[in-house]
Amino acid sequence: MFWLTSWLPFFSAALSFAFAALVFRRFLHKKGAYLLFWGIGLVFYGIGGFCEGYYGFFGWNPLIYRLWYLFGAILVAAWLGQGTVFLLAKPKWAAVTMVLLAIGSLYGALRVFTAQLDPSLLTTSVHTGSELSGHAIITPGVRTLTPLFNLYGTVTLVGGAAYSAWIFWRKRVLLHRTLGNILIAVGAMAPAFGGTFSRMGIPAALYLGELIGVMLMFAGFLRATTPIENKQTSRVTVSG
Amino acid sequence: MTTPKKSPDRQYPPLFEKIIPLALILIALAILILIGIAVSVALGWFGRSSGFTLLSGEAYVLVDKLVTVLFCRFELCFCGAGLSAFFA
Repeated sequence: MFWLTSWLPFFSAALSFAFAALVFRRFLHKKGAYLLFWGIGLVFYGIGGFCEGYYGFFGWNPLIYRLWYLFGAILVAAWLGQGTVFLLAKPKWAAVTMVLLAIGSLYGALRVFTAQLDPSLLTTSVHTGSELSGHAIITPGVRTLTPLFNLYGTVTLVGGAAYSAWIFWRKRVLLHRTLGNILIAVGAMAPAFGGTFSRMGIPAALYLGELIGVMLMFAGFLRATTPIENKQTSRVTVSG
Repeated sequence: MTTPKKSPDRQYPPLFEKIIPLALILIALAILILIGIAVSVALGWFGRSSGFTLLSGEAYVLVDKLVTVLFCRFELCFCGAGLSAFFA
């Protein structure tokens, strides 16, 4: 079990940082705001994984816990989703939601870094204390922020990827982007389902969900940005 | 009078023609499940032992009933529409 709660999140973090580097490199070439936000979101993903691995190896540390809760539990999905908003929504809406997200993120940071913590609560409910969970936060109102950010992030990131895949599929164009977006959508949901199973008491489910999630999103990004040769799309004669 | 939508003159390889719509339907269902879980957590139907709820008392009971009715109906409609589109 030790490797699941220590090495696994470190591996997720390494993959996230590598993925972020690739996205930032693409941003330098293409200059899309969506790439910048995806890159930032992936850095948050990596920070979350790093903090989980740190806790697995070295145990409780309040700063690491706060960093994990802020970047790994609250902000990551929303910032990744904001990238998709920049890609798909009108610039005005993207700007408005970005301002709201920035204000919300600052507020979240303030609440997390001023919250009272009790590490003994990590072993309450179905949790064994071998993985991080939000239970250690005592101050009311802090954990309430999480579903709001995550709902926004999941709907925009997964919904945006699924919508893009649907558009490409309907027109039967750019198969690589259809497949890439499906992989991104599935990958983006993996941590959410991991978190759900973790809440049901399945050990390391969250960490496994995060690893599967970043692997699928990485594969999806590579697929979406690498065109498939034309011979795979066949022309069909339409009669009548 | 409306004219029927013309199918695109291109098609993906046969395997992807079958898999992609199924995957999209499953993703849509998964999004609904996740929204359901998020609402459940927020309302305290799920993970209530941690004492983490947004609402309490009469407000909780009212929203509980409302979301149950709305969500179940919406989910059923969505499933029906998705399956009809797939088998059409």
